[in-house]
Formats: sequence, C-alpha cells, structure tokens
Amino acid sequence: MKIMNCPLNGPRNISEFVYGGEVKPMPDMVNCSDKEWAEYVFYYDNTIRIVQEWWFHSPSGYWFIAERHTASDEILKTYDPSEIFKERIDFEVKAKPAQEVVS
Amino acid sequence: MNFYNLSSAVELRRSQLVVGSPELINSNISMHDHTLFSRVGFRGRGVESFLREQGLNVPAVPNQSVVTAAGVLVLRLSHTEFWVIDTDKSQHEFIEALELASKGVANVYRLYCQHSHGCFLVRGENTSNMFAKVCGVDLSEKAFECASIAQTSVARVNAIIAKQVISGEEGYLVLSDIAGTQHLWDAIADASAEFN
Repeated sequence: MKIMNCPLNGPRNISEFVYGGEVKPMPDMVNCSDKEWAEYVFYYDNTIRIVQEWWFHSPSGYWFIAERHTASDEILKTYDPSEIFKERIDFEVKAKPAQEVVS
Repeated sequence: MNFYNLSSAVELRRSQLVVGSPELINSNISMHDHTLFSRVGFRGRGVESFLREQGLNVPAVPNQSVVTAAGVLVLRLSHTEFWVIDTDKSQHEFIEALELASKGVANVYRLYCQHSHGCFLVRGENTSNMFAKVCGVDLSEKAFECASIAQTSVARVNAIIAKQVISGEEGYLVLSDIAGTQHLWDAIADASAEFN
C-alpha cells in the first residue's frame, strides 16, 4: 500500500485520498475567454517535472497541496493551502443583460 | 435565509441502526448506539473564540478532544472545525442553546453532523486489537493516547474515531456517514466476535 502524508492527519493509505488537479493561477473569471477558462479547468501540461497538485483527504474533508514528480510518482512534499493562498477569493458575478427568449 | 434549528424535535429522532440484542458483543468489547444523542458542528475562523465564550474548553491542536465534567465532548477536527457532542444523553438543552447562540456570529458556520452521521461507542479490553483488524491507523495504547482523534477509513468506510473517557470509562467514539453506519456496526461486531 502506498502511503501519503496528510498535513492535517499524518501518514494515511493512498486509498483515502482523491486527486484534485494541478495548482495553477486562476484567470480573471469575469473577463477571460471561454477558451482560457477551459484551459484552466480541463487541460494540463503532462510533462515530466515536479507538479503542484490539489489532493483531498476524504475522511476528514480536507484539501491540501502536494508536490509530486510525474515520472517517479514520488510525493516530495505536502502542505496546507494557506501557505500559498493567503486571501479568500470571492466569485462575484457581473449581472448580464437579460437575453430575449427565442421561441 | 431562515435559521433552522437542527437540534429541535429531539424526541422525533429515530436511529435506522438495527443493533441487535444485546449490545454487549462479548465480555471484552461492548458497543452502544449514540446516533440519537445531540451534537452540533461548527466551522469557521471564529469558532474557537465562540466556543470559549460559551464556556467550553477547546483543544489547542487539531485531532484532539476534551470532555467536560458534564459529559460534553468537544472534538477539534481541523484548525477551524469543531464538533460538540453529548456523551450521555443529558446535555441536549446545552447543545441546542449553543446552536442558537451561534446565529449571526461572524465566521461561525454550522455543520449538519446531527443528521449526516451515525455515532456509536465501542469499548472494552480488546477494542484496540479489534480495530487493528479493520483500521489502518495504529490505535493501540502506546500509539494512540486518550483524547486523540483519527480521521481515517474503518472497514472501508470513512470514519472519525475519538478516544476519550466517557461516563468514567475509556472508549472509542466512532462517527461515520449515516448511510454506512449499519455496515460499519455489523463489521465492528463481526471483528469483535473472535475476542470472546
């Protein structure tokens, strides 16, 4: 069994964790194009390097960040997201003008 | 949004757990269904100071618990998440008042652990040996001290295990998703059978 070190709970079986995607800078969600947003949500570089990834410890409902080498699959470091994200991000939606319903 | 009091109508709560009889599995391990006992959870940056203002002691670090003389158990599940649990069915009014007092407090958000989780107490001489069969975390006397909490997988179900002195005797409180409690209860009862 592979073991991952959860920053909150300590070493746990890898089956307790869920992958949550790469950590990437978020584009301006109000003004970016659909393509930019899709790239942010769905696409990854898939190169051999050390990546920063979101991981979720399911029994405690805790999200954290892991640094993993994509070739060796070795997990080098795990830490609380507060080390990177210092401020809360609010998703303010700009009101769009009402569209006419085409029947 | 209206404020719904999740601790209300305590007499209408029903446990879905078919525990069988007797609850004592054998002379070494006993199991008790605590699903209907009152509990409330809070998450947020303001929770620690809110609970202190309400006269509760809170653990200084995550994955630790404290129990009051009256039998109110406070679990600290992360830096900002706390569950407050009645351990002997006598503290319902306190839990209800606590929930109502949280209304409008900045950075304090209630969690739905009363209805989302089942809860049972497992104790007895061989309990830690029994857990070694169904849980990957070492819960033995040496590795898992009283007041510790493990949030992990037990019999392939996510669960919170809190070791604490409850009603004068050390035991393991197990909290798990309500949909899976029957499975977990049966799995623990089955694992306990060999310690007769």
